[in-house]
Amino acid sequence: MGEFGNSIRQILRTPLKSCLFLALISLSSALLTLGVVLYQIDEQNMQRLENVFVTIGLVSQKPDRFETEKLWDAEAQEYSSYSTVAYDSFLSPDVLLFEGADYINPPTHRPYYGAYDPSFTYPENSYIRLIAQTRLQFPIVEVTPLEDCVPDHTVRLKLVSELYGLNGAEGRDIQEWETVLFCDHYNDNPQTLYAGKTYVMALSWKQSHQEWLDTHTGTDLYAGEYYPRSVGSNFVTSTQYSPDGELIPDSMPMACAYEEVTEGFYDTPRGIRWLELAKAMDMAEHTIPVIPTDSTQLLMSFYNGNSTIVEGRDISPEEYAEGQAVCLISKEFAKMHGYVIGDTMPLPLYYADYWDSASRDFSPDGLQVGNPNHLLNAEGKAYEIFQDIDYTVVGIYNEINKVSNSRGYDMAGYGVVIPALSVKNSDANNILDYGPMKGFNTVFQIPNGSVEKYLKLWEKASANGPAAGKLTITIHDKGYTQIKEGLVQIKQVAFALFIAGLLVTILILLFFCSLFIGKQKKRTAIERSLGMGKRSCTVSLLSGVLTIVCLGSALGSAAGYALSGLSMKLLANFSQWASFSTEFSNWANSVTATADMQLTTDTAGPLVAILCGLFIALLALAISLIQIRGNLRAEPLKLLSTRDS
Amino acid sequence: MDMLEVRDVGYVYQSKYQSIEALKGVNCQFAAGQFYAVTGPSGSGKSTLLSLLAGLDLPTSGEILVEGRSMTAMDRDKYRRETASVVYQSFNLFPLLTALENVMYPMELLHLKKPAAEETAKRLIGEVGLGEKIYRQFPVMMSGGEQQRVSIARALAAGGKVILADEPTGNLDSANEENVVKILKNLAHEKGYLVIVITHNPNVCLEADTVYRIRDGELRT
Repeated sequence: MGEFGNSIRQILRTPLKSCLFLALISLSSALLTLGVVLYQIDEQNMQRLENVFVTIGLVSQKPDRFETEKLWDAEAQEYSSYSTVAYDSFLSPDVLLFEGADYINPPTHRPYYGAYDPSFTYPENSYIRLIAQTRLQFPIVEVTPLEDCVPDHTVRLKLVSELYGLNGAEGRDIQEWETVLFCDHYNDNPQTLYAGKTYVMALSWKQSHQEWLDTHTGTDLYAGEYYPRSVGSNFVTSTQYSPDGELIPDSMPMACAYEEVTEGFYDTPRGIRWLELAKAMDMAEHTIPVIPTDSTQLLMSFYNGNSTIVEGRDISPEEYAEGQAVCLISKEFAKMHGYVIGDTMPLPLYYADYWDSASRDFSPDGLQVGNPNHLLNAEGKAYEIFQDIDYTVVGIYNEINKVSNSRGYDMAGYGVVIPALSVKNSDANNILDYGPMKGFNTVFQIPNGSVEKYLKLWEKASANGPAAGKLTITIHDKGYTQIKEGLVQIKQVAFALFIAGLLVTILILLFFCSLFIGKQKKRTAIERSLGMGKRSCTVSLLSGVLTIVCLGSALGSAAGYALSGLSMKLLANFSQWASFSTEFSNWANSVTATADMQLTTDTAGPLVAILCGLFIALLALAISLIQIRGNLRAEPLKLLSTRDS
Repeated sequence: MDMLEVRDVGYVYQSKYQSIEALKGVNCQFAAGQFYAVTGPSGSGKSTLLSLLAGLDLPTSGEILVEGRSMTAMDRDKYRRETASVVYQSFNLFPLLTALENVMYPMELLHLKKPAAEETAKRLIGEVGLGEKIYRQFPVMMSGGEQQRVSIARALAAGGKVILADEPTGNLDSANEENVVKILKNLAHEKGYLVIVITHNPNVCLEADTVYRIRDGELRT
């Protein structure tokens, strides 16, 4: 206590120097702490930025041309024309694997899968829609004309039986008086239907035929007019594709969606095909759309915040990487089947659709459930299940805005999200349709901040390749680029403050340690001659200096810490980093509404400020000890024998 | 038994470029209650001898005995705290401490309670002929004689019985010189201190019981 007390006493006897030292060390500490705390806040924001922001690219192949096709219109009695897109070939996503492309998730042409579960049903209101949408819209029936007729206008046919229709739904008997209104509406040369003969027909409902309104009697059970499903898009012919995107020829193509039923017809290959078609239609009713992906953030509905996990958790990166049998289900799905987190559910996959988006076949609003088209394979049979494993529900999601006429980017109604790698079995024999890469089926992820570089490299790599000018790549980064730029600016300011603070602190410590220690060699010599050991002399010299430094650094660090929050806000306003760029994001506006995306301007934890104060104290200790070492090296008698100046 | 005994002591200053033999085979004894003067020309080795007697350094050869014990084996910091004190020509008081605090300093190193240390310090200041008004004065406010007397009081404060003085009158006028020599002489003769004074001053030598002369590092009585 003697050394300490005398040290403090002596330093306080020079109040001007001591106060100046205290003030300057407080200021430099504040500067240094401010720099470090700002740096830390900025670093935290950058970390959050990396965690929250995801940069994805949507790939879409441009059509090679548009083709105009003619279609007969029985009502207008003339051909109408419509245009369709045509592709010479479907490009593989491999064209995007160019040198320098640093993918986190490389582009993959993803299908959506249909999972067939006979026990899977839609809720009552949806089921009524299903009946309306599927069984009434696309029935497969046996009919017989009441008289010979050419169906180039609306004719009434007597209903004989249903292969797929209301009968399947209710198990009812066909009544004698039940009829179906029929017109081969889009056929400019329909064949004659003969009274007394039975025909099997795959039909589509059509609303606007005036003749139906004129002839509707109320006995027509299927309240509407129908046309065969073989015109326009031929839905009774197989559209099975190979994994390379090549159409596999149908072994028994059907040019027309109705034909005569003769004795033993359903034992013939042709008849069996009709039964398979009905079976496939029935399977479609119990189909769950399954969306495979490598990251939930690659699904645009999740990416733009329209869908969020409301219960449980997201599928983890490890589960995605290992292809574990886990899934996310929609809130409606969970409610409908009573699924809770941790339950397992069967997902017997039986088809893969590389053409369309699940949300266009299973609309998010539930108005369209199931894909009634392209149901037969090239052998004319319903697709077989190619993988049947149970998935564990780990999360339940909710989609905020459920829209009809989806562009394909929304979640499918009752859609199930699974890790793409969990599909271990090949879907090569179950591809019911194939098409070009589209934004909803080909998405990749690149590191944040690499957009410019990526696009430049892509431009260079694709210039003379097969994909030159054929792909549209749309990058979305939620405004990361601009925010990052602002944060980098703040980091530079923080770093400059830190360096300035550090340098000033070192200079102040060097100056005052020299004054309070280096120039006190004689004092050390006196103390030595009075019998103080080297340790006591060290304590005597250090105590006063360290007391001022500790006090100053504590005051300065506290001030720097207090200023950091305010400074961050000022800097943020100055650099305008809080606003979101729309350069690479069409969804920036919806993103800003999400709490997770808000970057913090709150100050960091006090630990950093405490560490800054401690660092300054340690720095002072080091500089002081170096000076003290010099003092103790000096020859005491030599110093003490000279006259004071 | 002699208080201090110098036995065949040699000391060599070793620098990077040269070595200087400051003391060569010095032998002498110093008894308690005696007033000694060590004199000689500048650079003769007087201050080196004082440095060794104060335990600030050790001889290169030979040994110094303190009441029969070799200083080499002793805790020399403790020796300076409890046995030997040094009085300097330039006083060497702590400039930022008052006279009283300067005198109290060695006692605080011995962990004496503050009131007791203050009382002793006041008594010692009185014994060297200074009044109360000096208590709160800083060295810069005192005359050379006052400073030297405070310095002597500080030397006495630790309670050691050896006082080593390096040209204690070198910066004093004749009146103060006389006073200081008188104090030192009294300490030896009346209080039993061993007082060794390094000096050029023939007047001081005249007052000493024994005078040692050093020339080129060699001691002669």
